[in-house]
Amino acid sequence: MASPEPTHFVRRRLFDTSFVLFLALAAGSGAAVWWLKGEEVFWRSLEGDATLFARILPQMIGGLLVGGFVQVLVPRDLVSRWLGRESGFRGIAIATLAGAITPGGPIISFPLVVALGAAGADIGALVAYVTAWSAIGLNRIIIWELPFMGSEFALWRFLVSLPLPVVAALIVRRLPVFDFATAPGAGRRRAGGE
Amino acid sequence: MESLIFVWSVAIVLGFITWRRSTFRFREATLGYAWQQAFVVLPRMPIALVAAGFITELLPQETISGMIGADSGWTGVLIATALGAIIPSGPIISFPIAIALYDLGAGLPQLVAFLTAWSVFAVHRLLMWEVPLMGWGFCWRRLASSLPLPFIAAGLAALVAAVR
Repeated sequence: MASPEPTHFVRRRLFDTSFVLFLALAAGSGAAVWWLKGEEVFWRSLEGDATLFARILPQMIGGLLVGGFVQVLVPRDLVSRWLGRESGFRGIAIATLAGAITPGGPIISFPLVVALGAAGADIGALVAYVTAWSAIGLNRIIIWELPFMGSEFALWRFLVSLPLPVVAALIVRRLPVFDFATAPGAGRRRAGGE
Repeated sequence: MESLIFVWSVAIVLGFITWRRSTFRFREATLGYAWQQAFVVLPRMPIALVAAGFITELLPQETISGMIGADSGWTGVLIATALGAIIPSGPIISFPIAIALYDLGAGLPQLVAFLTAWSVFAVHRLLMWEVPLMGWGFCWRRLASSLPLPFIAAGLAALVAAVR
């Protein structure tokens, strides 16, 4: 299988709708705090945010760099080679591991799932992959969870979430069979585009 | 502090390996991937934090901690799961909310349920990526098999909280 084109540079403007929405939400809630709770609470809240931001920022920059390096170090077709070959419980275990280490956002992982499904991979393994990528994805843990929630929380949440991909995979295998040829992305994929 | 040292140690080691392999790859990783994401995330993150901080001040803390506090049990887990499942946004919003919930007195199992539900159900990701690419046939099966997951994670987290 040809490796996917590097289309995951999401071109976004700095000041788009979501940015304006965030700003409006912050301004609105800030005004409400000033009005309802008083000036003192307003400044105390901002001070708390500044402390939090100063703690999060250096960790997050480190996390973003780790994410970037992993993205160029892990070969793009490694995960698909792993997932395509195995089935059964071994397939679920490998899919869980692959999901946890897949870097980047849905723009990388979902086209992969479509391609593997169309190529005949087991649905249990694919659900395990998506669940692992979302619940125990190391990329998100390093960039977001460690800076925001701290290492102790992140570690415990990671450990208690380890069984989740396996559980989801075992359940989905008992549901009515799904034909991947009917997936909307399957045809488009084979036509060579995203 | 430990996580800061950990993250930067990993970054330096991986950066060194990447640099040794190819300086072009190094530039792609730093100025390409990392910078692209930082460009989107870093201006928004402080604003999301400020908004979450103000909203935390406005919400009635006792009511919230009664609903999803450490003593709220499975009802609290259910509420936290529902809350996590309906957040139609990425980590820029959900992690400030997680911090706000923590400040409002959410318990460990409830916080785990919130983050698990947000990760595995992810409404925005489902509508933008999963349904268009995989179709409802795949999506409902994955969602159905993921329904118990926040409760399993929260149950295990409750065991951890009880043991410690």
